[in-house]
Amino acid sequence: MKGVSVADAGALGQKRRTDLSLFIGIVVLALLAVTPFITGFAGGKYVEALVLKAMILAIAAVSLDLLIGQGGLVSFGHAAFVGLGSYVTGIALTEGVTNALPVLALVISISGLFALITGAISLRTSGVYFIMITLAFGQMLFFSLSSLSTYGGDDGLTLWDSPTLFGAYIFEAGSGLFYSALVILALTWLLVWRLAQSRFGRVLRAGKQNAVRVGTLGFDIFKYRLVAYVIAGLLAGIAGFLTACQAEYISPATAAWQNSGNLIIMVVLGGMGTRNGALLGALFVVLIEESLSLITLEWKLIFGPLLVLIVLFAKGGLVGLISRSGVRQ
Amino acid sequence: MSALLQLEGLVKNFGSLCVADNVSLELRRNECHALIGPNGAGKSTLINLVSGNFRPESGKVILDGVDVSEYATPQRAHAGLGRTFQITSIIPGFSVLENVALAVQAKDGSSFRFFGRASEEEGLNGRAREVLSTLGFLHRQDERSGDLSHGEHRVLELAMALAGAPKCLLLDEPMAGMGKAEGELLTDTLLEIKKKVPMLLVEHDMEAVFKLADRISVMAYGRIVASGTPDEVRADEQARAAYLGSDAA
Repeated sequence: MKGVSVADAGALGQKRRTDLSLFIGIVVLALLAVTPFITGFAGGKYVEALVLKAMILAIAAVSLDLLIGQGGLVSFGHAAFVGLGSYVTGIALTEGVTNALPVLALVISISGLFALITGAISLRTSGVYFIMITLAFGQMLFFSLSSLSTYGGDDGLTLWDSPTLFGAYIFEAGSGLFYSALVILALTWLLVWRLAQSRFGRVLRAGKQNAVRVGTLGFDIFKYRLVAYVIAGLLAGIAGFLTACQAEYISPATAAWQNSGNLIIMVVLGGMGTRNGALLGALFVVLIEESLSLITLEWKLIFGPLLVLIVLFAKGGLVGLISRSGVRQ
Repeated sequence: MSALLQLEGLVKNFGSLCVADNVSLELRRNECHALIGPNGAGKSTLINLVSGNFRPESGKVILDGVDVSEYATPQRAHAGLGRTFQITSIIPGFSVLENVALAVQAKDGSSFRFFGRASEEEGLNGRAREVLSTLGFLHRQDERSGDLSHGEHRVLELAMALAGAPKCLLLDEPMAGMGKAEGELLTDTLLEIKKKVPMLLVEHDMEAVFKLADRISVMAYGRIVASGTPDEVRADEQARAAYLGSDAA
């Protein structure tokens, strides 16, 4: 009997933590949803655009956490998928395809295919080599985009149109795009967590901790990682679609390695492999960068040490900080 | 009836060092075949060659009449090979139950299922609990497995290997680092398991070996130098010279 009650207590504690993180996530998304109303009084379009940018980056960061947090795969080329998604969008629009459905279908299939090919090669390696080869593929794409002279080359390309869904301009910069991005972010946030809890995610998580054992149990971990890489890649592609819609401009710089590094910082800072970590990390980084840069031109002098402090003292990132303060109550 | 597991002429070199030198061995149905020998004799290497974690230079592994030599490790697991590791190899961040449930999952349909909580699948958990209770380990199911003691890790290793319902078990020093009492308890458990699953056992604890083994092979320098029933091996000059020591008689 005693064993049973202890087991129940453990399961209950687990459930309470799960409920808490679900609650926090929903609160964050709800706050994002009311942002345009608040900025109507203070901050205006500028703040709304900033939050939109943060949400789009959060989609990419949450998808990257499927690789880093769940799979232990530190991809240093994730921004390439964002860049690819924005270019597919930009090129489709320039060529006269304005219906969002075929554009999104193209974005998803092309970024998925790019992930399938580069993943099949990259996932043959591990550790530092995996980091380097994903970086190399990212830079390869960056240079390829830079050399597309028809579509602006180094300078990028201004878009004169935005995709429509059944004639509605829901992806035009403004509140339409804001809520479209919010819905996609919410779906991505839900999807990645559901995946992590599924049979598939369990194998992925186990492989992060002990790939040899997982192989010996009968799982071909390579296949699971490749599928995760494709899912993460196409989600980042969708973030690229939204990036192009917001900026009404595409640039090879989107795919540059600095942006891949930023995404990693967001994931690590927020808390890897947690429900809300990447989401909070992305919002935090974008907003703190912006507020610091308003205070001083030398904001990076503050931002750098701040990152170091969080990584040093907040074990498990921002989410770790929150859940520890929750436990104390 | 043919042997369950046949190793034919396995050769493995690490550089110029030959760690498996034309090793042939048979594991019959319903037996425990123990592999003994001094450190560095190539016993663990042999287990790795059978499980597919190492690839041999030449030779064959035949499981239940099927040549699995070309199979990768996961396929060999599906063909019916279950193994434990000399150095504890578990998923430390998972609970005990989830470690075993993962092993059950490996043999239970497709794991390319993207929705539904794996941790709430009663089919997987139920089977995992069954295995844990046969090992008398059910009371630890909610423990984070990384927090277990060394002896408990050894039991969890065994539970994970059993959960895949293997045709045969490869046990690489299951008693390694265990205390005397723990080791005796595990020996009794293995005696029970032996009735259902044949096992190839690498072990240094001679008391356990002579209690469990139906046949024993002695390895030295990558070769099998003697093979036979426990009594035959005890009497064998070469076996004594290689391992048992002259005072063993």
